[in-house]
Amino acid sequence: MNHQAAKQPSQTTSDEAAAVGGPASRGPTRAIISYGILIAIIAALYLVPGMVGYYQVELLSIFVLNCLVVASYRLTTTTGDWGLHHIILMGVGGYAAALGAIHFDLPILVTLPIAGVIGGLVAYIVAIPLTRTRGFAFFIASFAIGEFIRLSWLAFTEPFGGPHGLSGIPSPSIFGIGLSDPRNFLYFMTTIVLLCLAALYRIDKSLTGSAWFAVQKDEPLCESVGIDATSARRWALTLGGFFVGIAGGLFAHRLGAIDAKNFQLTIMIYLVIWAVVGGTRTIWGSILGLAVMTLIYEGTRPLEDWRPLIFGGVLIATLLLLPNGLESQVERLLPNLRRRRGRP
Amino acid sequence: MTDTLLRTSSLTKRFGGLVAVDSVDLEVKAGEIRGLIGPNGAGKTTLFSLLSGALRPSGGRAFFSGTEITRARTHQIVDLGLVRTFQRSAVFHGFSVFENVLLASFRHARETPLGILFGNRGRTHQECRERVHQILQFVGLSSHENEPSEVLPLGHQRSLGLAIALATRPTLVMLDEPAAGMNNAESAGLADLITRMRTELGTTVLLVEHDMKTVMDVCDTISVIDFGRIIAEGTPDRIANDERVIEAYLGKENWEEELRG
Repeated sequence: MNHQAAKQPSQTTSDEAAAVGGPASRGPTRAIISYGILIAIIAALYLVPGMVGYYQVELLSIFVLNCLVVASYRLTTTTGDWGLHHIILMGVGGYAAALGAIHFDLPILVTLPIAGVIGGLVAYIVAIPLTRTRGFAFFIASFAIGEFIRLSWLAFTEPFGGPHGLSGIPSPSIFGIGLSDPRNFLYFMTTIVLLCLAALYRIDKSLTGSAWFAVQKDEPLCESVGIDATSARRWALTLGGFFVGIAGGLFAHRLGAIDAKNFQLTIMIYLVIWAVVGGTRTIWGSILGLAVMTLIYEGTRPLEDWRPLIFGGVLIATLLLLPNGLESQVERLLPNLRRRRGRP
Repeated sequence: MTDTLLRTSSLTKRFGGLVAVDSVDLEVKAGEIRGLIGPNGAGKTTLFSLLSGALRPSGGRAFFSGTEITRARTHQIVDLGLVRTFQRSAVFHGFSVFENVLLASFRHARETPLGILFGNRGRTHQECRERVHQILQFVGLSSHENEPSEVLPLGHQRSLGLAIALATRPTLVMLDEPAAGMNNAESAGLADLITRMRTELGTTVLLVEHDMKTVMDVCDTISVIDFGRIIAEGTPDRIANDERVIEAYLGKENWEEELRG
């Protein structure tokens, strides 16, 4: 009896690396495969731009930026809130960075954190009324609030530039290296996005991240063990706004211009499709969804008029056939890579 | 040990024309095991919901260790040390048994932003994990730590529900029919567990239960509620022979059957 009691704690401390969200069985094979894939992807992200033309660099830039957009959106969905204002928060960060760079000549390493903080701040403010709603009401209310912000960019020529938006954002540089070259900017952007993804991963693995998941699963039970569900939802939305604000800042600096058309509902719908197709249980799932949909998007260039139909079809097919997204299939194919048994 | 921990004064809840809880005055002292019994639909669960902040009372007030909780939110009440369990088996699906209890001690783990980002968990977190092991041992689920909670047999799920409640470090636990769905051996184990909660953890218990044998065995005092009103209060012996209680349970025959279980 005593022996058993002493043995129990040490068993679970061995997978101490994982908080609540950690894998239940972390075999050495699993670790090697996961780290191998991760290192290969990171290496590819830094090596590929040097080997391809400017068109491919452009595509890769959009993809890398969208990784951060979809991963931050996925964070807000962990508490069960599917909003339609996420892309607007990206715009908020973008406008903040653009205004800072144009009017105050701030360097990019200053405008990006500002974009994040302003994005998070606006996300927090709109989360106060939004978290009083749930489900469909949340969906619609977040759309209304998003439109309110988007239309105010159009309505105010000063400072937002009205329908023409803002242009002439000075081309950024860090430590004397000019980032006006798309390739250099891609290297810089990849670095920032990877840092943000690492932070998002840590949040996901923390006890706080698990508590957010628990809010999605069973809100009354969360409250009854002392987890403030409303505050959890607000924090998830705020942090989502912070990271997508940074993405918005990167977006504005990359193009040197920004306007309200970049943050329309169509793009928000794409974002929802990426997340649904990939699945939102893990960060990697949502990025997988983005990758697959980007391939479909590029593959259907000759059929441009048919794209909404094709995307709608893919969305419906996913909801019917893979309600937990592509990530659920990846796990079935590679049982070694299976994460915790839990979280369906 | 005679401090009043929980007190309500004319606590009332109306649903339209129905008075589910009708000016209830209840006083629970620190360290006691109080039973709350009554026929189906008498208002016991509604009373729990009022005290735990899941429902807002229509009238009256409630106090817990000197603080008014009449309009407090559930998580604030849990912070004060008053926690409830549910009649349905309430566990976090998709999480293992260990993770369930760890989630319930979330507030005590005190995660900091830096700790989250750099994975340095600190002593409080370590202590929390230790406590989770202790609690699981206390309710007898140590050997199931890594199992997913939703595949546990019903009896174990109920124990897990109790472990989740205990992880919040309560001073008073409100148990809502913990023996429902348990066999005789399991409910005997439960009775033992409730007594040990008082002796080993110093927890005060408010127990709603239909299994009269368990109630009569473990409770110091029993309050009987019928049509939302407290109709009798006293030691198990007195309650067993109280005229009003017998009447509430539709006569002597029915009541004796209840007592036999």
